[in-house]
Formats: sequence, structure tokens, C-alpha cells
Amino acid sequence: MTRTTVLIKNLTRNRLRTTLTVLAIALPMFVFTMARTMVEQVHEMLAESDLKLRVAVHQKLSFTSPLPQRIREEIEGLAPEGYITAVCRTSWFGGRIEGKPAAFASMAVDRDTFAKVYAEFEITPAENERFQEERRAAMVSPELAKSQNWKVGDRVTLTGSLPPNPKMEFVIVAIPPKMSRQWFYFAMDYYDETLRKLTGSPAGVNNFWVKCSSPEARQWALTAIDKHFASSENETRTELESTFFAQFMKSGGDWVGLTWNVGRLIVLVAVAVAFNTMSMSFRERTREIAVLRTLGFSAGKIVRMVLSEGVLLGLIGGLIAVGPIYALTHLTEFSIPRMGTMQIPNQTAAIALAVACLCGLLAALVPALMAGRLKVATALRKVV
Amino acid sequence: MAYIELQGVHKVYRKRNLEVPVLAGLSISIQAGEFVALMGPSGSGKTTLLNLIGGLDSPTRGTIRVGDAQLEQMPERELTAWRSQHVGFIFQMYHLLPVLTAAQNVELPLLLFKMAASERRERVQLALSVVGLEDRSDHRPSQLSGGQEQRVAIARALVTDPQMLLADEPTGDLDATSAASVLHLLERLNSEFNKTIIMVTHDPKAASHATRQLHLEKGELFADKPREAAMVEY
Amino acid sequence: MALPFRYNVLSLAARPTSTITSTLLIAIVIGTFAYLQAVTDSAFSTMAATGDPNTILVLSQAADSESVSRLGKDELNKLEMTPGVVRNGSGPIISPEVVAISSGYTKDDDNVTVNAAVRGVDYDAACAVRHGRVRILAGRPFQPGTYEVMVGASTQRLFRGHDIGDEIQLGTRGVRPFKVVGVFTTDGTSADSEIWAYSETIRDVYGRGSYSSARMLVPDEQAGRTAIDFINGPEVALSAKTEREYYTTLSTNQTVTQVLSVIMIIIMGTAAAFAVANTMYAAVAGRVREIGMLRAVGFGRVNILTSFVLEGLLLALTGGVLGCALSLLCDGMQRNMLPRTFTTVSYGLAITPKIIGTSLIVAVAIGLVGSIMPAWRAARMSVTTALREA
Ligand SMILES: Nc1ncnc2c1ncn2[C@@H]1O[C@H](COP(=O)(O)OP(=O)(O)OP(=O)(O)O)[C@@H](O)[C@H]1O
Ligand SMILES: [Mg+2]
Repeated sequence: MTRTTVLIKNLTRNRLRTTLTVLAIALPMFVFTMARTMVEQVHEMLAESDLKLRVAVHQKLSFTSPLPQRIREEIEGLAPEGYITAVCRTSWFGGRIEGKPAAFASMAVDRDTFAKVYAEFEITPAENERFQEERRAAMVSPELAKSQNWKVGDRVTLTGSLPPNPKMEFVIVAIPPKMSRQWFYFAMDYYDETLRKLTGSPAGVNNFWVKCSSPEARQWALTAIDKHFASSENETRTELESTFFAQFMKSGGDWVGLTWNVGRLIVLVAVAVAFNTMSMSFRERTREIAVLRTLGFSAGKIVRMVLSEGVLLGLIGGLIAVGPIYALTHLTEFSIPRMGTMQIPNQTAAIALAVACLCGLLAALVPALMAGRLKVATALRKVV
Repeated sequence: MAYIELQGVHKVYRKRNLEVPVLAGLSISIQAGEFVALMGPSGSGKTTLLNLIGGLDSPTRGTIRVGDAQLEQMPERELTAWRSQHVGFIFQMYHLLPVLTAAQNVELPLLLFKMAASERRERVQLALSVVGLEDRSDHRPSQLSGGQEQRVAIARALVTDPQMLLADEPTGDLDATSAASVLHLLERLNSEFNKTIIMVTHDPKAASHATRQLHLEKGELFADKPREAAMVEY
Repeated sequence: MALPFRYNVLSLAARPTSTITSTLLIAIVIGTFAYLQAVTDSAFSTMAATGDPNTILVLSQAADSESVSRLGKDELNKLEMTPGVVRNGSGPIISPEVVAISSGYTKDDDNVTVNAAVRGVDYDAACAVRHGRVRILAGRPFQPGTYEVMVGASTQRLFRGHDIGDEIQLGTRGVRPFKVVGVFTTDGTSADSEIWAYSETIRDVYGRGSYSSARMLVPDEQAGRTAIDFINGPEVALSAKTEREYYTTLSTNQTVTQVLSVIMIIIMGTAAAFAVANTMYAAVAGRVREIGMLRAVGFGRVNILTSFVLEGLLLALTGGVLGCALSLLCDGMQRNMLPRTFTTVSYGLAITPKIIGTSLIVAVAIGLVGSIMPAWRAARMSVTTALREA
């Protein structure tokens, strides 16, 4: 037997209470873990998008006001030799299957530069070739293909969400495994042609995604492009990809931030639950602690014992909160709607465990100090 | 030189602004190897005195020496360490930890010493065999009778091999047979192992097992109160 | 004969640490729940309040929002013939409006831009179809034909540099400065997050040949249906809805929070119920003898059961009330949402009686779930064992 044995035995004293407590710690810690994972995922997405050395060039006030297509050539001509890898124009199409309400994210893109600018999709040369050859070619993300039951070769008709709401037929030529979320990409020239036929005017461009060759080149792009178009008819704003995406989060009420705040707040629930239990069990054990003191256990040892008990309680709660979901997300392809596949990062798991232990420690602090200050002679007298 | 030496010990409890004097200038010496029965009416201060000798409480005035230790001068931390080596406590309500087995309860005080697990096991076995409970080592307190529980508690007090055992009404909660076996055990510990024992008791029959009887009354000690008088009182 | 309620109050007071901790814990849970409710509900009610059931909104046929709708002059002329529309001296009350987009930095963040809807209107017609809901808070309305704007109260609050006297940039084909001359409110509707200017000027700087939408005032629901049928019919062939219908379908991400708050409350409520159970089990364990005594003098099992359940409920309700009180702290806090128009709408959180009601019901549920098992254990105990128990 060791002191740890005594510690563990103490937790088995009131099994029901320990179980309830551990679960009541695990539940909020689970929310904490999930919330942090979500936040991490978003931050990682933003951080990763900056590694891609892409900037977005759009109309000065809003990307929803389209710019003319020819600006692409102007940007390409502007850059010093070797600064720009490629420019891909994107036009929002929206896209809706007739009769179904849910719109997904479909976008017209430049055929020639798409694979290069969106290198992270890892579009194979064969896939890219098909994208060049088929006039109505479309590439879709696996997630979208799965939800719509699409295969390569399928014909799909979509209605655009913007006026004049063209109805267009597409042929799915590739489902690149690395393409994320609910994206649907097709060729800009096909869109342009359709619009010209319908309205006589060309397709406008929401964003010019400029893939730079180096961080210096990107720095150049962030200022030089806007300077060039300043006080022209088409004033632009050039932003980092992360800044571009951050605006949606901010103006949409920052759900990620909200979730994280709630996730952190309810750690307090774990602390309170643990504190309740620790103080109850301390009260019931006052006499036992006094006996331990008569046996020669010092006040310091008693304090450490009570603190360890709290930490152990927190740790078990933390393990229950983190363990199963960690295993689940690491051993299987675990995805939640709108967030894509999810994996609890090691760091988050470690932080959650540490926070759980800390909760236990915090909760045990007052009972531990009380146990340490116990007047032995008086406590022995007390009839519990 | 006496093993236990109290001189002019006063103990006054303060309850808000009310002072409750319990011991009033008490002096006594007890030799090593004595078995003292401490008697007296309820509230006379027997437990208080025992706690003082065991270093659980400190006197308001006066000096207490046990062996080489001058208790009233020692800070709490030193007293704690001293207790673990020199004192074994035995309580009326046994005070075993319900979650631990008999053997584990006995082993508890040994966790304070640097000691190999095998040596600890040996000592626990020895202590349990002294109290005659080696076959109950895996039982929990709830699976033992009151007398057995008290014997486990005695084994726990013994296991560190202290010179002195302090027992506060150890038979107070036991039936006659169990009480007798506990008293015999204490007697044996005193005669065979030469332990110095101070036992508080209300029972003159229990006190008769001791080598010396002391009576505490109104804050003062009287030696060897006549038997008849004691009979009337209890 | 039931046990007096005072008995429960006293026994809660006898265990102050445990009672206070459990109460606080429930307060945190209920407070958070009320807050999340307010986030969803207020977003929804802001949108719903924006929509007037007696205002008809006309969009082009396939458009699902004003921002992607286009109405030409011919189409507007056809609307003049709509039956059932309220008229004034010069004809039916119709407000053709053009909706564009502008962007700016928020007051608290240097880096990120957010979008605001720019609405080009004829001021008098726009006020007429909103029958008196537009109020000027400061300054004055814009003058027709000038580069002047008035900003909604939420816009002024959210954006940097949108105060009276400031100049803001609007337009696509070359951005132009507009002067802010007034601040208006429409009593908490989404129009408070807009910028209003003269319609022809906006059409000009945004290069719009057409309008986005038209609003018409109808006297009642009956007239509204007639008007909507006429507009949706073959003669006009546009898409008409009541404004209320339009705005309630416009906000998108509400379901996410709704699901989020339901999941949260289930998880956190369970945790809170466990805490209540712990407290109540301890209460039962500490009062075994008392229970034995009560049963011995003639209280039945049902009395004991109800008494402990009541005690749990009292604990949970106290926490619930405290949580609701805490949640009132965030009453009036501003949040943003992004409807399908891609323009930010700010809204104030409101802790409504409905939210308080739901939260208290959840608190009661927590109390019930948490105390039923301990109460059952107390009620099940036999009198003799209870009395014998140490
Ligand atoms: N912490 C305390 N504060 C105040 N008074 C105390 C305290 N502890 C003990 N007393 C008082 O001191 C007196 C002696 O108590 P003590 O427990 O030593 O008596 P006792 O002889 O052991 O009695 P019993 O035979 O009933 O066990 C009693 O009057 C008691 O009320
Ligand atoms: Mg006593």
C-alpha cells in the first residue's frame, strides 16, 4: 500500500457521489474540449490560408460589387517578374438545384489557373486536363458529392442565385479528395458566355485570387495593387486571405468566439461541482483526518492529500471527457455538419486534461486548507 | 528519571470571553513501563490530560516532558513528527478508516517512514499477530466486531513500536467479553513488551488491570482513591 | 399532513457551503442558457420586427433577397395597377428602393471590414410605406439629388467614422464621398443597420439601371393577399411577399445557435442535476435518523418523498432565479448577424419574459431530475433501520 492507494480508496468511499461528481466534471470539460477544438480549427484554417501566400483583390467597398474581368491582365502586368505565380478569378454563382431550397457554395473560376492557385486541393494533371477539355466541366468537394449523391460523369443542372439567375448544365469531371467543405467550381468562360447570351453583358468578378511566389511578393501585392487602381474607375482592396475570411466571422456574430466563451465559462461548473464534493467529503471525514494527525501525519501531508484527491477527481473527469472523443476522432473519420472532419488536437486534449486537474485542485483548495488547520484535539471531540 | 514528567500544568479553555479552567497546576511523574489507569468524573479533564501528554494539545502553563521531549516548547511540526515515533493512540470509537482493510489500517502510520514494502508487511503481520487477528487482515472494519475493531486499532498504535500507548476509554463501547480481551491485551503489552500505558476509564474493573490508578477531580490528581468511594461515584 | 416547507428551508440553511455552491452552479448554467436563448431569439425577433405584415415587398422573380433582385422601370409601372394598395393624393403608396452594399471598419477592430446595406430611397415614400416607424434621432434627412446620407442608429454605433459630419465612401464605378447628415431609427428593426440615401444618386454611383425592390402599403391582410396574388400572377409576373414573411426567412444561422444552445443546456443541465443529486444525497444521508423519527411519528413515505423533492426544487429554483438575474446583465448587449444579403445586421439582446420562463422551467427540471433519486432513497428507508442508523 502507498499513499496513492489511500487516495484512490478515499474516492471509492462514496461511489455514487464520486461517479456523479466525475461525470458532472466530464460534461462541461467535454464542451470545453469541443469548443476549443472548433476555435483551433478555425484559427488553423486562417493561419494555413496565410501560408498559401494568396491575397484577395476585390472592389474597394465590397467583394459583392463585381469588377471587370480584364483587371486580371492588369494585375499580371503590374507585378515584377516572378512575383506572381498565377491569378484566379472567382465569380459567385450561388447555385441551387431546382426545387431544393439549400444553396451551396458554387463559384465560377479561371480554367487555366485554378489548379495552380488552389494548389492545396492537389488536383491531378489528369483531372485538370478534363477540366480544360469539357466546356461545362465542374469539380466538387467529396463532402458535397456525398451529400448530393454525385459521381464523376454526372450531369447537374443548377440555377444561379444572382440575376439573371441563369440555369446551367454542368458535367462533374473530378471530385478531388482534398477539396474541402461544400464547394462546387466550374469554368468562368462558360459562365461568361451564358451571361452574355442572356443579358448581353459579361460576368463580373468578385475576387482576383493572387497566388504570390514569396512573402515579399505578397507584401508587395498587398500595397502595390491598390495603389495602382486608386482613384480609377475600379478601386480595389487587397487583403490577406485570412482577413478576407475573418470578416464573415466578425459580421456574422462570431459564433466561434461565442462558443469558446461559453466553453470557458462552464469550466466554472466543473469547479463548483468538484468543490461541492470535496467540501462535503471533507466535512464527513473531519474526524478521520484528526486521527491521521494523531498518527503523525503532518498538516502539510494532509493538505497535499486533500489536494491530490481533488486533482485525481478532476483528472478522472477530464479523461472521461477527452478520452473517448479523442479516440473516436483519431481512429475514425469523424465529421460534424458545417465544420467538416474534426480531430481533437493533442495540444487541446492536453490542455483540457490540465484544466480538469486544475479545476480539481482549485476545488480542493479550501477544504485542504481547512484540513491543514484542523485542531486535532477539538476535532476528535466532535461527534459527527 | 521518570519517563513522563508534568509540572504545574494548567489548562484553561477560552470560550469567547468565558474562561473554563480544566487543569489547575497539575504535577505528576510516570515511570517507563508503568500501566496507569486514569479515572475521574465526566468533564474532569481526563481526555484533556491525555491529549496534552500525547502532544495533541498544549498546556496554558506548566511543563510536560516525555522521554527527552519537552512538549510545551515544541512547535506543531516537531510534535507531529515526534508523535509518529513515540505515541500510539487508542480511542473509544476505534476510528479506523472504513475504506481500508484491517492490514491497510495498521500499515497507515508506517507510510510516514522510509521503509521497504516487505518490511512494512512484516511489521503489520507482527502487530496483527500480537493482537491475535492475523487471519482477519483482509477484512474491512465493517466486517469486524467492535472488539476486533478495537484490537486492530491497538495494532495500528503498536506498529510503529512507540514507547507509550495512550488509550481513551478503550473499552467504553465494548461488551464485557470483548472488553476483557482488550484489557488483557493491554496488560500483556505492558508486561511483555514493556510499553508505558495510560488508560482513561470509567470502569473500576478495567482500572484494576493497571499497575497504578490515578483520580482526576476538580483539576487535581489524587493517587489511589479508596475503592469504596470509587464504587459509589460510578 | 405534509411536512412544513420551513423545514426544507432550514435544512438548506444548515448546509450553507453545499447549498451556496449548488445554487451558484445552477445560476451559471441557467444564466448561460438564458444568454444563448437571447442570442437566438433576439436575432429572430429583430428580423421579424423588421417585417411589417401590412407591407408588401416585391422582388424579381427568382430572387430570394433584395440584394440579388432587379426591377426595371416597366415592371414598376405595372405595379401601379396593383389592387388593394393604400393610396394618397398622387396615387398608390409605392416605394421603389435600390439596395447596394458598403463596407467599413468597426469601432473596435482595425483590421476587419464589415458590410452595411445601402438603401437608395425616396425619403417620403420610404417613410410612408413604413407608416411612421422612421424617426430621426439627430440631424436631418438627406436632400434629394445630393451626396448626403443618413445612417441607422446601429450603423452609427458599429462603424467607425459614421457620425454626423463625417464623410463615407460609397459606389462602385469610382468611389464617391457622401456626407452623413442624420441618424435615424426604425425602433430596432434591421433598417437600423442600414445607410439611406437618395435613390437616384445611389443608382448612379453603383451603376444600377434598375431598382432592387418595391414596397407597397396595404390596409389589411385581405387586401394584402389580393395584391400578392395580382403581382405573382401572369400580368406582372414578379415575386411578392409580405415584408414579415420575407424577413423571417432571411436570417440563416439561427438554427446553428438553436442547436448549439439545446446541446449546451442538455450537457450542462445534466451536470447541474448531478450536482443537485450529490447535495441531496448528502442531505438524505445526514438526516437518516430524522427521517426515521418523522416516519415513526406518522409521516408517510409520500410525505418524505415530496419533502426532499421540494427541497431539491427550492435549491434549483433559487439558482434559476439568480441565473436569470445574472442574464439580465447582458440585456441590451449588441451582437451582429449576417443574413443572406451579406450585410451585417446588429441587434440588441433582450431577456424576454419568455426566456425567463423557459429558463425557470429548465431549472425546475434540473431540480426534479437531481432530487428524485435521493428522495426515493429517503422514502424507501424502513423506519427501524433509519432509527438504528448512527
Ligand atoms: N475545546 C474546548 N473548549 C472549551 N471547553 C472544553 C474544550 N474541550 C474540553 N472542554 C471542557 O473541558 C472539560 C474537560 O473535558 P474532558 O473531555 O477532558 O473531560 P473528560 O474527563 O475526558 O470527560 P469524559 O469522561 O466525559 O470523557 C469539560 O468541562 C469540557 O467541557
Ligand atoms: Mg473524555
